[in-house]
Amino acid sequence: MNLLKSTIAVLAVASSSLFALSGSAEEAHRNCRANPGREWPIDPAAYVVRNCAFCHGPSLQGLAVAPRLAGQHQEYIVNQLERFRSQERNNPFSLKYMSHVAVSVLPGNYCEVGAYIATMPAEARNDGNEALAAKGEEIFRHGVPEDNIPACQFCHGPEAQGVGRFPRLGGQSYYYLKRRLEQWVEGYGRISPHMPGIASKLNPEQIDAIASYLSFLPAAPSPGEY
Amino acid sequence: MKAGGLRRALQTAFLAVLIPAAGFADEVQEKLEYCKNCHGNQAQGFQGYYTAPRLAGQPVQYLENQFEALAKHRRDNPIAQQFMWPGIEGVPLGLRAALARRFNELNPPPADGGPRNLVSFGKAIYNKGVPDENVPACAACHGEDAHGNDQVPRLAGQMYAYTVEQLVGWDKGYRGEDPVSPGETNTMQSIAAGMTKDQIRAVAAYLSYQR
Repeated sequence: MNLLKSTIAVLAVASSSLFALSGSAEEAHRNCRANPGREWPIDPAAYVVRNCAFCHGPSLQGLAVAPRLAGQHQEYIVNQLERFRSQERNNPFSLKYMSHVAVSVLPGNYCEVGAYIATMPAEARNDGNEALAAKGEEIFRHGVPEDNIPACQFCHGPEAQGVGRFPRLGGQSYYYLKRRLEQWVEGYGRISPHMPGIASKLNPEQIDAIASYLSFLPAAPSPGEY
Repeated sequence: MKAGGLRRALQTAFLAVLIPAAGFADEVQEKLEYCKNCHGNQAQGFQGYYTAPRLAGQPVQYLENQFEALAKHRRDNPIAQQFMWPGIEGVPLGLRAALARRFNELNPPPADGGPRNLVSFGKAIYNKGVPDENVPACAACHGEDAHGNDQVPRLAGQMYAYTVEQLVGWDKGYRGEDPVSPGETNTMQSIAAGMTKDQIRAVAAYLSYQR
């Protein structure tokens, strides 16, 4: 009876959140559904392992400066491949490595690559400074309203799982997160209407704290639509 | 010497007037940018992981009332608690009034359209209500153009997901108190409670395309 009750409760919560998210989920997949891609010449898994794993690690958990891709959302991957292709993501590593990768994958196949990457399980890198995690969590959850810094979780989700074009940040490597926040201010890849302004308000200690906190987060399940 | 003293005094007086004014304008602009991180670049509403409503074109009085209801924690749904309670805390009344005026002046196109096939059903409910179920015509208070006035909010162009969430949430008592007369039950609570989910979706879809 208790089990039945809790099952009903879980179903009720799940259906109410689906109700709330249905609009955005629709949005998220409109592009990939509208343009499902041509005949993919090779298996996406084989393609990803052969090409991406060389820099991003064998199971795409990230390696050195290359970020973890495993578990990233399809829409995010597709959007970023388009930005690498157009060279809007323009830091030196992006230009040297990712631009031609994005050109070599046919744009019609970005959706297949993204869909496969989204299914790969993500592991936490746990490589930040543990002493700073609590401070990082405070900024992530509430921002710093008196300094006009918004809460990261508004877009990236309460467990940093991301959604649609907003990347999953939980468990991403400390180094990548830190450099990405710094690069918004340095002027690289200004493709977000919000991130350059937000990052410019963070001081180095706050960036350190946020990147540390996120590096320890286990990969939370993707929101409903995937 | 005397003339120099006078000039310095005038300069000082001039700066004393000018600097706070410039400082306040900067403060308004900074806070506005802060709000737009979640509410969209033109306050048209924005969908992150959560949904932030359109504030553009809202009546000044409505916005000031909501700021107050959020600051006093009378608006208490989980998203308001998480984001707007800390967001509005420490924002003085003068700044709130300036922000309300700035949001009121914006007029961007709608941001999040609902299902098109529900629009005509939604339009009928908006203009005529559902008399058999005691759902009054929304247009009676919110205006035929849905632009609202005074303490009645603009609904035209509101985010589909947001309108749905609010109408569902009223049933849970999240906006149960009238922000103008705290302690009194909000007019919308009983109206929203009487609406089915299909009716809610339809009205929200219709409104999401109105300008």
